[in-house]
Amino acid sequence: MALIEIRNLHASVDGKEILKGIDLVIEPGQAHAIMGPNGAGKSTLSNVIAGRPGYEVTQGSVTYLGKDLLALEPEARACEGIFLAFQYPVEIPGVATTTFLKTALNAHRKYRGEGELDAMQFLKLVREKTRALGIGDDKLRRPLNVGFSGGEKKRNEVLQMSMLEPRLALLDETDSGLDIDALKVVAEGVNALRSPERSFLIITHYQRLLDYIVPDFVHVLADGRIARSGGKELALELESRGYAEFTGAAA
Amino acid sequence: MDTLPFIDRHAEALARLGGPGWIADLRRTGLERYRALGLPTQRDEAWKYTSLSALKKIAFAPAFLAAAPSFDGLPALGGSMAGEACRFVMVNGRFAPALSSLGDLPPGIGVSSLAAMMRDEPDALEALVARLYPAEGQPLANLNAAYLDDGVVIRIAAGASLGKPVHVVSLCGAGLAPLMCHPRLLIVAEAGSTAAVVESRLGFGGGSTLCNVVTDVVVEDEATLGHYVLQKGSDDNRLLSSTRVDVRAGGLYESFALHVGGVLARNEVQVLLGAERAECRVNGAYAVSGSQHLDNTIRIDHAVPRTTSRQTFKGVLDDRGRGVFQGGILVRRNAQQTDGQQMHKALLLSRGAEVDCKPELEIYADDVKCGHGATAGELDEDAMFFLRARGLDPETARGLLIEAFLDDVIEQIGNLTVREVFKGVVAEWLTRRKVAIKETRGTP
Repeated sequence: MALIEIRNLHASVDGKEILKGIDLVIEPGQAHAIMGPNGAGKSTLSNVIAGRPGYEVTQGSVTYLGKDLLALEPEARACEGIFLAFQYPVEIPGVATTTFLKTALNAHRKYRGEGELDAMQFLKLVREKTRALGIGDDKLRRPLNVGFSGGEKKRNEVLQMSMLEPRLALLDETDSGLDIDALKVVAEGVNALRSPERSFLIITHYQRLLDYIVPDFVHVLADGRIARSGGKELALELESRGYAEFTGAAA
Repeated sequence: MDTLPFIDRHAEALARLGGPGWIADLRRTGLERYRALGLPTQRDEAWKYTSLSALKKIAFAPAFLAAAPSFDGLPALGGSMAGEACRFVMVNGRFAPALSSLGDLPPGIGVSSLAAMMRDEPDALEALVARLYPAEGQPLANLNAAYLDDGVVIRIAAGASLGKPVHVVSLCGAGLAPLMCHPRLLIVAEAGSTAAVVESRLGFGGGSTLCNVVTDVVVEDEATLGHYVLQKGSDDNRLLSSTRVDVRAGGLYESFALHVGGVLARNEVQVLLGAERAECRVNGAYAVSGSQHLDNTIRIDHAVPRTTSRQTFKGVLDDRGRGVFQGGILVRRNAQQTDGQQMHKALLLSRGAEVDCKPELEIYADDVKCGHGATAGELDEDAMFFLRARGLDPETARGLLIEAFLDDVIEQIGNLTVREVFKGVVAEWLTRRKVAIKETRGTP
């Protein structure tokens, strides 16, 4: 069974149609990249899958592990294994990163009917994950993302992903605002999470990220539709030729 | 019968109250002034957003004229706070020795019942008479004086340093008949002393109460006083609080009022910075829901050069809750190099909630640094979605964001013990709120 099956998906924001019929199937273990010009609807697609309020699906279906995903609240989608890594992770003053991680992890466990982790179990798990990502204990004690650099925020997103162990990770412009060193660290973190059960949808404007997180498939999204699909070599072709032919076709 | 509320049984009450002759004079003066001033109305600028007219319809009897309310849970309610130095409990304005725990006070700290002092140490009390007379123009403080009966006198001797806070618990509750009480608090922090006082204002029982408390504070030269108030009444409790603070040279008065319950509450705080380097921080946080109404009215009088004041308040308003903030800063003509700042931030959780914010800056000096700010907003949608996308249900997410909103002002509480206790109160309020929401949703 496909992990996620998107059929003829149309979606609007503030009454304006952004997605105009998307078809996409992702099998377990696959990494798909969505590329395309600004305004093509790339981020809209990830937000619709994650269930962001204000993104209205007007037509089509999204089936996730055989279930109607669109009928689920965002928190249920998260607990079912969908993880959206945000382009702009939110800062939450007054809530320590560990407190937040524990709350999120226990929400997932509760959803699955498992007991909450006690403080020791949680600490052991979080230590293990942070060490792998090179995140210091001081960051964990600090309020979530407050005063973090762009790279630290994205690394924090990867930490959350590794704690919550999703089936489908949506990386929304994860490379934006990162220098090359930060990008490498984040990419390594993502690559460590690749497995035959876990799938990725990588949304990016630039090919650069795909040098580090190598996709199985690349799709070009233009004017709310997938204009072309191919293997990873398509990304290189786009890098050299740009999106002109797609924006032209859309106009 | 008197047309003014709250004094129709005053003569009867007076006959029951003892004390030296000068106390009787004080009560008479209070009554005369209250009669002359009348109850504040919304035509008074200081009461623009808070109406007392609903109170007039309730026949509040002086608590000491009614049968003492019995409530089995009282000892638990007056229970200890983690880290307190001592506990002074009042029930409807009168000292309750059986619920209190005053043993082992460190040297230099005196905590006494006002009624006991009237009886046993009238001379020591008469030395404080100037502090017992309320300001002439204050109707409620004068009403309190008219009924002057009991309360607490806290004296911190010069140079004394008290790490653990003195805990004053004021319990208000009534049976079927509505009751009122008029407790008086007097705190004197003598020169060079350091201390913290926590007042817990709690409600019990199911009847209507009105507590009209007056607090007088003196912070002498180079003394530091932390004054922390927790208001956790029920929807039967109404609280009118007038606090007058006098900060002397190099003294610091730091206060924090945390309000999480009570159908009507008014916190009026007037601070006189009457000597150089005097400083005050008058902060607070509140949560109102249902039809609760909370009014914080602050007035800082920068009377001389080089004084500093800060006012920071944050409120969370749900349902039809209403918050009022009137922040006054008066800088007198010669008060050069005054530094006075105020800020009020409100988080509105429902369409029916309302916040009224009125900064009042009166500046007559020209070399000053004064500022004010106010914001009112809803929960950040992006943050809500972020938390939900991590698996948190909307109520848990909201709770986390409310806690985050209140966090920075609570972090300003100087006394670490009190800060932790108050954080716990906020967390408990959030849990109760979540349970209440679940129950409402659960019933068809």
